[in-house]
Amino acid sequence: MINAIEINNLTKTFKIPHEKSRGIKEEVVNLFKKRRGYEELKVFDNLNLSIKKGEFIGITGPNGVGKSTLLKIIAKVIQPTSGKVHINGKISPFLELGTGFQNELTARENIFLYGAILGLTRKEVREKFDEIVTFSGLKKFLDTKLKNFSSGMMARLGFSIAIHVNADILLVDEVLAVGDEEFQKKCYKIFNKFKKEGKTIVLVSHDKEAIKRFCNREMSLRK
Amino acid sequence: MRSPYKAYTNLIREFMITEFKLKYQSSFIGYFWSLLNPLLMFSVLYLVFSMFTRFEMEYYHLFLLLGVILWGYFAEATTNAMLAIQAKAGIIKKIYFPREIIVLASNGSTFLTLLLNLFVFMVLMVVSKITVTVKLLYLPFFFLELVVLIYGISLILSTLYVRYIDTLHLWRVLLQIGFWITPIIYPMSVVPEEMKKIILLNPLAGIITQIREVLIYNTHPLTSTMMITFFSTGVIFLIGKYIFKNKSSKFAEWI
Repeated sequence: MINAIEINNLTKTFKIPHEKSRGIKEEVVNLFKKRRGYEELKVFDNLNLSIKKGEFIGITGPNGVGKSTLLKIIAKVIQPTSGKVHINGKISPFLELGTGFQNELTARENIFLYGAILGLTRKEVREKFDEIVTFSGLKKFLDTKLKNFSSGMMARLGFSIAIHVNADILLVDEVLAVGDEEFQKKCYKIFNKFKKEGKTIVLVSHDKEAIKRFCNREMSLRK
Repeated sequence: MRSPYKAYTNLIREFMITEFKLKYQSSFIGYFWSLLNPLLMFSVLYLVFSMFTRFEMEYYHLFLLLGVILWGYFAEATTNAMLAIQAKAGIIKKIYFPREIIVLASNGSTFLTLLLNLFVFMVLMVVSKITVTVKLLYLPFFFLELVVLIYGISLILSTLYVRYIDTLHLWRVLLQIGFWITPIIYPMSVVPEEMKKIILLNPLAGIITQIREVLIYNTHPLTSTMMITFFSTGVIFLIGKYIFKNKSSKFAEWI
């Protein structure tokens, strides 16, 4: 069986700048004072992980331990300092509330925009439009500007688009918490369906209960 | 398997539509605002340079308007593109796609505004009874040069801006200087011979001059000018490509 995600000897070090602003002045001052101007923060040191195709893995751990960083590295948003990451298949990331949404546009317009960001063409979005709207349960608010949406509504919309991308790997980052109980149930139902279809899901969550119930593997990150 | 190219062109289009909508939806005379800017600039400059002092030349009004429109396009496109990466920080931090798409889309939507402004210029050209000839065939090439030049500079600026916020202020100052060292209000013919070479090193000077020559004056652009402009545009484009290619994978961490 082919692994959907394979991570070998991953090391990631962040440079955290001392100053808040990123001006030329700070750079020059640091140069003259011969100080580095940043602190190094090692998030991963030689991490190895393989996730099989069709696996539903839950990642837990305290804040700041690197859960989201790991998802971002899998999603190719940030690059590892060293090590290799192999991805087999198309990724659909659902990483944070309202990412990619435009508050000044309506929900309808945002579905097309977000769909495009996730790699769908206009035609494909049009074909899936009804399904997306039905799943989100936001039919009444299609022509409402997004700035008038609650955080729960935004999460519903974003998630509904993300699961209709037809990806092989779904990355979900602690966002379901904002949805109500009924929506969360719906989400886990979809996850189960995906699992049966052989899709891979990586879920970051603090809800250990849910992870025990739905995931077939749990990974706990420690500092 | 679908080519990613198709998804990316689709994304460029979607970003352009979004930017256009956001720009014009909240002001109901929409597009006229972006026309107003070059027109006001043109009116003031025209007043000054036809009443207080004069350049001895034909069709000065067309000469000036075209210069102001092209300069406005250059300034707006580069400034918008520089800010575009930062404006999309949220998506960049979360979702992968080639970052150049953002710069391309930003340049693209400013280009749409240019087309609308050029249409107004065309009307004025017809009113002034300018006849165009086969030399017009040069135009696509010169406009392509302009687009490539702007794209190259946009790539450099957007990369710098993600790293250093001072870039915006620095660029504004450079644009102020650029307006006066580019032949926008004055023709190349009033420039002292030894200065001409220096001014033509700025590819924008060559491009604007050549577009005017074929569009208004029906003269043949100088081969030497064409060569210099082509070369300097190419160099800037390649520098931009190189810098952006090397640094864009870090954007998500820097922003």
